Amino acid sequence: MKEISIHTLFGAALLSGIAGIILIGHGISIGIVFLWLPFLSAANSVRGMAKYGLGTGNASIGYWGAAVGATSAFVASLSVSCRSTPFLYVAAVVAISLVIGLATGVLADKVIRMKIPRIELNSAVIAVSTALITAGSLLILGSNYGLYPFIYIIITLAVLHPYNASTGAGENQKRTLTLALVEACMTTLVIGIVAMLASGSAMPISDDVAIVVVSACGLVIAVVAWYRLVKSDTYEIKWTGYSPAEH
Amino acid sequence: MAAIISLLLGTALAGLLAFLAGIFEDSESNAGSASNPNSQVQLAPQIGNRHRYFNKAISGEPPANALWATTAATIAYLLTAHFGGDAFAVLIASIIGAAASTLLLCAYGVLSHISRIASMKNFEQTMYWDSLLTPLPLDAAFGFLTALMLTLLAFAAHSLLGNPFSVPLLAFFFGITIGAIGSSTGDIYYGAERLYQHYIFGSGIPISVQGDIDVKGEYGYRNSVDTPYFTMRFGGLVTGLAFGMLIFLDAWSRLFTFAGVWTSVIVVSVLVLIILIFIYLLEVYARKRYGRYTED
Repeated sequence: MKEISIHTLFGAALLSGIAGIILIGHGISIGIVFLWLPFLSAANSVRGMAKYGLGTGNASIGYWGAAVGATSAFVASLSVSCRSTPFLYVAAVVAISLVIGLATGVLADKVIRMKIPRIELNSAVIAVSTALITAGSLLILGSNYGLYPFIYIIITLAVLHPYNASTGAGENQKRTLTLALVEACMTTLVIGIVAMLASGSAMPISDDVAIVVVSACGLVIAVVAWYRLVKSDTYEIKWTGYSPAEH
Repeated sequence: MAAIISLLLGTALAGLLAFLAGIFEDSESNAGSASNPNSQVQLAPQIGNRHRYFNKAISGEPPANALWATTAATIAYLLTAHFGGDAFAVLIASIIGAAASTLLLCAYGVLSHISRIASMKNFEQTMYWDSLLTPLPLDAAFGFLTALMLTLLAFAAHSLLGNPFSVPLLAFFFGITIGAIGSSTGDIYYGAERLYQHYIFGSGIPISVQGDIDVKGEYGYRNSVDTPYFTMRFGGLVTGLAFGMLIFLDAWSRLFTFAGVWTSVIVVSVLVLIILIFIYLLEVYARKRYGRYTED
């Protein structure tokens, strides 16, 4: 089966992420659905790097990349002039994360000599994708510094987990990316619930309810699609029993 | 006087909560075969050991625990910001927060197990629903208790001990720290001993035997409910001791400020020195008693 290339997915994720942030910036909170593609793109790049036998290191790749992305988005949102219009904000977020993501990738390749193929490209893709997601979440949750650790860690897990969960000889891109979609919906669902609790800030509560409803619908569809793939990939599914070779 | 009582109370409470959190965290990771032992469980089908363990491959323990603790603390922090923050409100809010983060843990755990088994098709590993659904409530219970303890610890550190960081950020730090301690201290007992009981005790895991784990127990096939029953006796308590000591001794830096702030720096430096000397003497004793390290 032909795999989706990193470039195609990243291009789509970039456009979709920018559209999402501009929509959220104009008060249309369900623009958060456009942030699902950046989740897929970041998870795909974690897969691209971790496939070369990183083993337990694939979690580290995830939180390294997400840390760069989240830091870039936090830096961009600190500046008042950057936040004046959604266009300027998204441009600042993409520019900062692209530069830092590429720089860390080049450093890891040339200075630390990690010897992972295409590490610069993948590190930049993870950084920009997670920066877009973080920036969108910040617009929804308001600028309460107490929420920054939560935003960072929940995005990190959703990005590093799809490949980590699917690792094994029978792993394929389609199932990993479907799992990434499941976790993207799950993450935006939780962000919506936290936004309801944190409301009183930027957005009225009905917008947060809309996020929760849209994410829940997406979650159901994604889980059904993912489980269909699991059923065709698994050797055998049983309620209980023992290995046939020994009994 | 009130400030001193608050500090004393905070130090004692923080130490106790941290000790309990350590026990629960290690049991949680063992009930799901997470972290280091996960690599062994993952390798097992590839060399013909088809198992009935819960393969909860979420991530390393530090980020996973950081997520559970931060989610619980964030929800509790927002709830107390809305509805007032006296001791009773903090307790109720922490329980609600920990319950919400436990749901997230269950979701991630189920997705991990099913995906990992699906990727083991070539090695004929069957996906048994009961080997996922039996340990899941146990794992969730330990996860809930860990998140609750860490949230309460973050509140205690913030309000009683006067830590300047916000409650969710403290919970994040505690989550990362407890995950690191749990995976370095507690998991050795499960990953290197329990899963390799048919090898000589303390022999480590050479590359040649990796994945050759015990899949059968005292009665029939082993499952992930047996594991915390075993590791609770040593691994869990040692993890609790390590994390509890860390938090308890760290709180002394707020307690001993009788002759200016530098007193606390001196007290903690002396403590670190004592610990280093103790570790050195222990190592010397162990090498004299059991011989030098052998080369592979």
